[in-house]
Amino acid sequence: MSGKKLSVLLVDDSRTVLLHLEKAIAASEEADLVGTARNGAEAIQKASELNPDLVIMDIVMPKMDGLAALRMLQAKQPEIRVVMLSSVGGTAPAAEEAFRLGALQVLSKPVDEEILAALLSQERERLASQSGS
Amino acid sequence: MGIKFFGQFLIENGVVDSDQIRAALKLMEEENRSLGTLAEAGGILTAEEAAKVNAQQRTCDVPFGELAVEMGLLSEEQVEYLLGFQEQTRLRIGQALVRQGALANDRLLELLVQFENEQALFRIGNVDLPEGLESNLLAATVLDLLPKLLVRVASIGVRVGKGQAAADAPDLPVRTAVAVTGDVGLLICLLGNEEFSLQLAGATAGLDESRLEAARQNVALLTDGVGEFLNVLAGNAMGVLERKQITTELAPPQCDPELDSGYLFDLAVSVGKAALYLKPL
Repeated sequence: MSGKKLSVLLVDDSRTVLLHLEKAIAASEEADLVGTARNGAEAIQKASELNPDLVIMDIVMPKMDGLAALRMLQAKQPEIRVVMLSSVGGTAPAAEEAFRLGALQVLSKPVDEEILAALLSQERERLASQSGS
Repeated sequence: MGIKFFGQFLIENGVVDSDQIRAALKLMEEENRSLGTLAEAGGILTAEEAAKVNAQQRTCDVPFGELAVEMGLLSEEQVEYLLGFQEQTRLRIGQALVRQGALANDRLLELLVQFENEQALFRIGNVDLPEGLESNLLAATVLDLLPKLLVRVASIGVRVGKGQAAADAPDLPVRTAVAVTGDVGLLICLLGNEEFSLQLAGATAGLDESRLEAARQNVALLTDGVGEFLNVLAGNAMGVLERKQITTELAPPQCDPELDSGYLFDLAVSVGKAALYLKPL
C-alpha cells in the first residue's frame, strides 16, 4: 500500500518487550516507530509531543499504569487510537476496563507478531480511507 | 497464545469491533445485578440493610457478601446461594452481542467451541503440592502452567521436581520475582543461570542470534526478560483463577527478592540450570 505509514508510540516498562515490538514494527511495511516510553506519565508527554496515529501500551507499569494513561489520553487526544498490551489480558476486569476506556484491542503477551501485523495493516487502511475522504 | 477474554478473541478473528464490544459491556452493566440488589429482590435484605452495607463498603475494600456476613445481616450460606445465582443469571459478552444483533446465536456457539479449544492450554490438571502449600490454588496453577509456557515461549523443555520447604534458594545469577496479591497471594521467583536466562529473555524479546550474543553479558536485560516471562506466567495463572471468581492483582517484577519461608522446586530444564521458589503472601 502506498501513502503515509502509521506513526506508532510504544509504551512498556520492559526493555525486552520494547525490543521485541520495535523489531516487529521495523519489519512491517505499515508503520513507523516514532517513539518509546517506559511508563504512563512519559507516554502522555510523548503522545503530546509526537501526536502518533497509534499508541501500543502495556497495562501494568510503575508510576502511572496503562489504564490511567489511557483515560488521560482519551481526554486530551481522543483522535489517537490505543491498543493495550497485557500479561493479565485474560482477566476479564482488566480487559473490560480497557475496552470501556476506549481501547481498540487488548493484545495478550507475549504478543503474536501475526496478530500485530494484521492490526497495523487494518489501522493503516483506516487512516488511508480517512485522509482520502 | 495467552489466556484471553472472549471479546479479545472475537476482535482478533474479525467477528466484531471494539465499538460493538463496548456497547455489549454497557448492556451487561445495565442488566447484571449486584449482590445487594439480588438480596433485596429476594427479600433476604431490606433496602435499608443493603444501603447500610453499601455505605460501609465505601470505607473499606471488602466484597459486599463478606461485609454483610461481618455485619450479621447475611449468613455465609445465603451469600454462597446469592453468588451462585448471580453467576448463573449473569449476561455474558457473547449473549450481549447476540442481543444487540452483532452476532448470530449459532455462530456464537461455534466460536465458543473454537475459543475453548484454543484456550485448552489453560485447563489446569492435578498438581502435587508440598504440605503447607496444598491449599494455594495459585501455586497449583503456576506449577501446571510453567512447563507449558516455557516450551511455547522459549522452546525450553522442563520437568518440575517435588517441592520442599526451604529457607533459601540455589545461588543462580539471575533471580527475578513477581508478587501476586488479593484473594490468594504468592511470590513467584524464577532463578536461572546465564544460559537458561539468555534463552528465555532472548525468546521473550524476539532477539536474533547476533543480538542474543550481545545480550549475554547484560544481566539487566536478562533479568528484564525473565521478569517479562514471569509477568506472562503470573498473568495467565491469574486469568485461570479469575474464571473461578478469585480476584488477584499483579505488581511489576522485582530483582533479587528476599527468599525465606517458601518452597523450592528443582527444575530439570533442557537448557542450563533453573529453579522455582514459591512463597505464599
